Amino acid sequence: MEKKKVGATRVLLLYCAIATYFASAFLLPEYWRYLLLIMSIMVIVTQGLNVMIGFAGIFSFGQPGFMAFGAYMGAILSERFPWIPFPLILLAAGSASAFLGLVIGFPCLRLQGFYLAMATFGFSSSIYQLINYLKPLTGGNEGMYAPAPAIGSLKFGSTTSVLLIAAVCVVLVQYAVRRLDRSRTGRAFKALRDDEIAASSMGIDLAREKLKAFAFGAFLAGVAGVLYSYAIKYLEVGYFSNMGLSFFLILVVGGIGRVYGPLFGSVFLTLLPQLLGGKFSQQMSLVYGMILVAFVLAAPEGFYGLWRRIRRIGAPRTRRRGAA
Amino acid sequence: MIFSLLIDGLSVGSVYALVAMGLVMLAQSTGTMNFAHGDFMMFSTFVAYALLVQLKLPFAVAIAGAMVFAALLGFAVERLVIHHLIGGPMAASIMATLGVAYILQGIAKDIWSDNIFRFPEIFPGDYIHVGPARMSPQSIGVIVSTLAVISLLYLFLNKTKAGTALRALTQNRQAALLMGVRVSRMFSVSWIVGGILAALAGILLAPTLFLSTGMGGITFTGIIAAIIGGFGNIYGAILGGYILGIVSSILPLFIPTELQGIIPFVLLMIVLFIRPTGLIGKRVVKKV
Repeated sequence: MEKKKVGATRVLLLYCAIATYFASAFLLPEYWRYLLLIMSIMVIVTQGLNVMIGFAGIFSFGQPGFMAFGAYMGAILSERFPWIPFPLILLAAGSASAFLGLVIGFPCLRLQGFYLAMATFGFSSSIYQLINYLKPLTGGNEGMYAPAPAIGSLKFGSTTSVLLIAAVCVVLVQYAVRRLDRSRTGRAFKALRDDEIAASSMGIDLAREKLKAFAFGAFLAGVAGVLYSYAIKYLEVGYFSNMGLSFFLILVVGGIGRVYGPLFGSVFLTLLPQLLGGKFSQQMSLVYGMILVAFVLAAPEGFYGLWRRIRRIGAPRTRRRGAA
Repeated sequence: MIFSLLIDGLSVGSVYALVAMGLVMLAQSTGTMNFAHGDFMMFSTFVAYALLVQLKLPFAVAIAGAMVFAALLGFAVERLVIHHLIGGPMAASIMATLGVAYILQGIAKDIWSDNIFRFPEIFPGDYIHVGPARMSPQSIGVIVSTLAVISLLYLFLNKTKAGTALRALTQNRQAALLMGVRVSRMFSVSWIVGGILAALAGILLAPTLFLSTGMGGITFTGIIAAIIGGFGNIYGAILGGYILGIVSSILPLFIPTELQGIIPFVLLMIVLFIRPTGLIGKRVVKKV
């Protein structure tokens, strides 16, 4: 098969977008810079969730738990061993999360999908309790200060520098997921999502592929957790336990299983409270719940699907082939 | 001491069993896991509270009102949301029911605020002393009512036409359809029964655990209980509910209180490692 040619304008647009993204770390006012930082972190976590749910079809409530684990892991590591440069901390926390993901995933992945979903939920709520319990390490209920990212004695604590670190991660993650989307593994994920029996008869090792997707998601959550600890500078379990719903919302709004879905979703979710203003905070669960249900019912492919439908208006009609 | 804790465990376990039973009944017959089950429960209990305390109506009216409300809620959610997602991916129905859960929480917060309410005891009275044990009439009442509800559900499923149709749906939807079961109507029935079970569980639970908008989190405990017992049928769910209730009231004697919350998870992981189909589950081999 011939490789699809990507238009030069598209490539140019992509580079422009990345350049703008990095430039805004310097140009935006502090408040918006911080919002952009949080948004970037959300992109990383939900991209992990996207690969799990959207690609491989395994549902997980574990993302906030893995994120909390990664954040505390990173903070404790860099507190005890200040000489470790921050990229290593990011990798270590991510890998530890991924390993934990393997441990939890292993007994569940031979079972129906929702067993794993429940195990991940149990994991999330347990990790919060464990963190609060391990007071000497984590400060318990009172929380702990998260050291700023550092290489040797150089510290990169400002919002701008953390945003730059996060931006590099976002670009890497987007690139990785785009590659994954078209790779052998990505196709295996989608095959088992669509029909496990058919996939396994095509020679796909179901448990192994599911574990891969799950560990990948946990890895990204761990990395995002460390970045989040750099952003908020002070860790408390409560920050993480309330995040779950926003992740699902980002995913559904952006388009489940789309490479750029988490990006659109995160932009939407970051701007939403800004647009709705002050009264919003009391009505959050109502608004989020309504948006979630509305999208699942009316636009299950999120903004991505809506955009495709709009573009199709006026275009010559093509009949879909192969729909049985 | 142990005996009193056992009674407490049975009483908490009864409520878990009711929740787990409702969830499994619904999941088995319609294929949808209702993550809003706990919030159905929360909202209907608030309705009962409003009728009982705010409007000062008698207990029977309040309970009946809450059950009717829950039935309508179940019916409405099925017709408006779930009906459109049948046959779709699992993620869609999970997210939709989660969305419904948050909508219910939002509305409840608007009406009743975030405070914690004391729900009047359904079975008031002093502790009963039997030998060394001390039992509250509330616990005994909860245990007995749960057994009554379980028997009623058993009779409904086994002795009525609608119940038989539901069981047929659980076994084989295609065959049930061919035998003349009105599948779409039975889905509504399942959701109505699920709603009523949620309301009953909430009213039984509220006097011991207080009433607040955060009560819905019990959904997850219920599902975990169901998996421990065996997700395949409602009796497994009931067994799992009691086991989880007893274990989580006796274990705190031996482990620090801060870690109580991880008991369900640890129990779940142990069961999944040793017997992934739950204690009384059968291994189902999916055929094409």
